[in-house]
Amino acid sequence: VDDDPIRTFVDGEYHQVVATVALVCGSVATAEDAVQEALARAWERLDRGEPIDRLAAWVTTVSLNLARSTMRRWRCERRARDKLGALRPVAPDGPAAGGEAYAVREALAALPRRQREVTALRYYLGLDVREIAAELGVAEGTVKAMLFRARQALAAALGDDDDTVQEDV
Amino acid sequence: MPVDDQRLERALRDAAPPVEGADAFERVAAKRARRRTVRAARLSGIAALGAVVVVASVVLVTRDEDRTRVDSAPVAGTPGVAPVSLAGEAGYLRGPLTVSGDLVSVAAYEQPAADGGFDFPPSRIVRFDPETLAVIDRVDLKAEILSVADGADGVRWAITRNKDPEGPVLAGTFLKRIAADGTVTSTDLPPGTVIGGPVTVTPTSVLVPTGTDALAFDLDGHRRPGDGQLATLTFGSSPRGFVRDPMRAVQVHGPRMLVEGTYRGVRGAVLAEDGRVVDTISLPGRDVAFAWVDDDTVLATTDGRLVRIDVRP
Repeated sequence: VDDDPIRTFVDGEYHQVVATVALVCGSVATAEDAVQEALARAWERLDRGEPIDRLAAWVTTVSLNLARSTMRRWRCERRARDKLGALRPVAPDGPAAGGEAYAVREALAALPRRQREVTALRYYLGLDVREIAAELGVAEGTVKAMLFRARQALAAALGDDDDTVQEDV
Repeated sequence: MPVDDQRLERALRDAAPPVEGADAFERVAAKRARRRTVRAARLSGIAALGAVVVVASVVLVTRDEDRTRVDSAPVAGTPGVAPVSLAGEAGYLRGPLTVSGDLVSVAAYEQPAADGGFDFPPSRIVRFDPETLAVIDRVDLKAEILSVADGADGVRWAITRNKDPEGPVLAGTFLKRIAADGTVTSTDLPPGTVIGGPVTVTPTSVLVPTGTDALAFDLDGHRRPGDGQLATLTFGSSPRGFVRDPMRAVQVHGPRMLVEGTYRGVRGAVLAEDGRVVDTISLPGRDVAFAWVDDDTVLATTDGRLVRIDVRP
């Protein structure tokens, strides 16, 4: 199988998908590793003659799942380390963001994982509610509810004192 | 001003980290090649296993009596534990036993007949498929292998120690950078360094714990200025210290984790996510180490051998 679809993806959507996963998991290195692993799996599928209709959507879903597994392992390892003694936290990788961007990153990190995912897919990757529901395998109403709650949390990070948030999600 | 879609989109764009990805395609190709290698090894392992089963069946059918199955015999007094053998690896196997992607790494040494223990040089890190027990690759070293950890891009890191590392001038402990192609680069640790725990890899650094501090290296294995102040590691509360009392979490699998060591007398313990001990493992012998290979199975070394342990809850 020729490598055109993979090369095209790397030259095109790759950066945006990595950034999306990084927004969700908080680590560019983990996001890159997850997206590259997802691409390797996509390549294998194509090798076997199994078509992938929308490569970007497929890679996004798989890499989010892989990053989720990594994060779960990190949490367990952190708990295990905590039981054995204190380890001073290591600063997350990637350049520091300032001002509002920093506040948004912090607010994103504080959101529940699913809310982080729908927020990144909606407001960074630009997917609509139907597409997000399809990618994450949840109902559209669930996506709307999660987006609503995430927007409430992000409103504070953006310095919005007004509790009213638009519900046209 | 209420939060609108445009403002959120702008905020997320600003908050998104920059992604370089200059060699992304090459990295994807390397991951694909590695997955192919593992799959090929599994297939050949299954084929070899099939051949062994056929041969064994023929032997058993042609022999009337005295059938013995050495590999399925449990280790004495430890139900659920069965010795297994790595294809083509006859050395003395001991920890660090670490899971590395789909593969497991173990340290292997020569085994002098005299005392049944192990000796070095040479030493090697053997990587194998835990399903088929087929050896995928070996990294030849000289000294005792204290710990192994995965880095990015297929790079692995190891700490090794000579037999007599206490010399005041010559380095006796080393940080080894093992590239994806198996090339080893060695960095001398300062003379007199006492290793306090396993090598730890972060996205930007490699840390070598020294008991109460850590030496820091960049991802090329070069010392970072100001190291020793980056992290303070405190392991447990045993007055005997971490070096001689190495209780540590060695593997995490889903909601369960595996702990090994001698602290509080625990050889191996399966903990639930909330810290509850759901199972304990006690193996006889020396050089006991564990690695979790799937939901219900732990591989371990004991007395230089590899064993498989059923840890179904």
